[in-house]
Amino acid sequence: MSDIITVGWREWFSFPELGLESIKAKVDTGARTSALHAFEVERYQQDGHDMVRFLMHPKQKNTSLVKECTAKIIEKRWVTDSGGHRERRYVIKTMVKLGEYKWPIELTLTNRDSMKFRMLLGRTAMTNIIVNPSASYLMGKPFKSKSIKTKRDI
Amino acid sequence: MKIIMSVNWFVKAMIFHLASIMLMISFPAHAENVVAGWIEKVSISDSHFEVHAKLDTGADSSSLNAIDYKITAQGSDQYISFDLTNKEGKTIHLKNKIVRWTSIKNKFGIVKERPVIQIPVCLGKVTRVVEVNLVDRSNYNYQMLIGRSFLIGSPNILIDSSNEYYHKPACSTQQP
Repeated sequence: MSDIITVGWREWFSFPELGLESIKAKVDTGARTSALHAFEVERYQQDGHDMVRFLMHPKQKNTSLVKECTAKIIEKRWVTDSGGHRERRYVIKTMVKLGEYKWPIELTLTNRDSMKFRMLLGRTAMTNIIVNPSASYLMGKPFKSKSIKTKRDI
Repeated sequence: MKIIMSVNWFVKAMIFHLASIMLMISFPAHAENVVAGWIEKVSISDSHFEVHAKLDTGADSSSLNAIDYKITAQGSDQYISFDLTNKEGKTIHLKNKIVRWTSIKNKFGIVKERPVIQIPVCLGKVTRVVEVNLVDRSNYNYQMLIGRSFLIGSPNILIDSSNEYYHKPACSTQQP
């Protein structure tokens, strides 16, 4: 990604490797790291790699729709949230898609059920990105896809 | 004949002027967007007092560091006064009317009330009078947090999150 792109303060992202097709996120210049909503986070081993399995609610204000995701762990890191609280979080690296652009980002996993947005895109994931605080969804809304409907009863 | 010619010319000129005025009304000059870094030096409260501010597209409102403030009543109004010392060691005394109180809820659902004042904030050449809530920010890196309520307007302030300090406060209303 070498062009400089202007995005809105809210955008729809997708994570092909996590099987998440459309996640509405806040593009947050006030946050250093990016965060993705996750709960029931479990660590496991696969082919000698440290892996993490987690559940998440891909839609805002909807806790009945649940997706299961797996990813390779990079590390476990102390992260301070906007309220000044410190928490140790798993960090994963995965491709993110925004409109026609695709690039790898680091995501920290945390429970965001009490927050409005399921995801925050922080500054370390924003190389060559300029944020227009008066605009939203400049990169387009995702088309409705059936695969997001995957439901898992727990 | 000459008079008729000049009257004719005058009418044409008037029509041209009217047309251009109409155009200006229908297409107002749109201020270009301004790009800023995610940290900028801004000046506050009509003075040359500068603070380092974090420009936060994730925040609706703006907040400023206030420690040990005093609230006094004047008639039906409440005033808040406090000292603010910047990174460079300069101190300013601020006294402002509390325009309202705002409730801020954290992720654990705990609500805290903050007083809100209205002050001019200058970033580059852009001055806007905005509501700023007051809170102890001594645990944070920057004395001020600027949210979308300041960033949106004419011009809009766009944030480049890979850069810092594009601007120096240079607002024309501020006299040394």
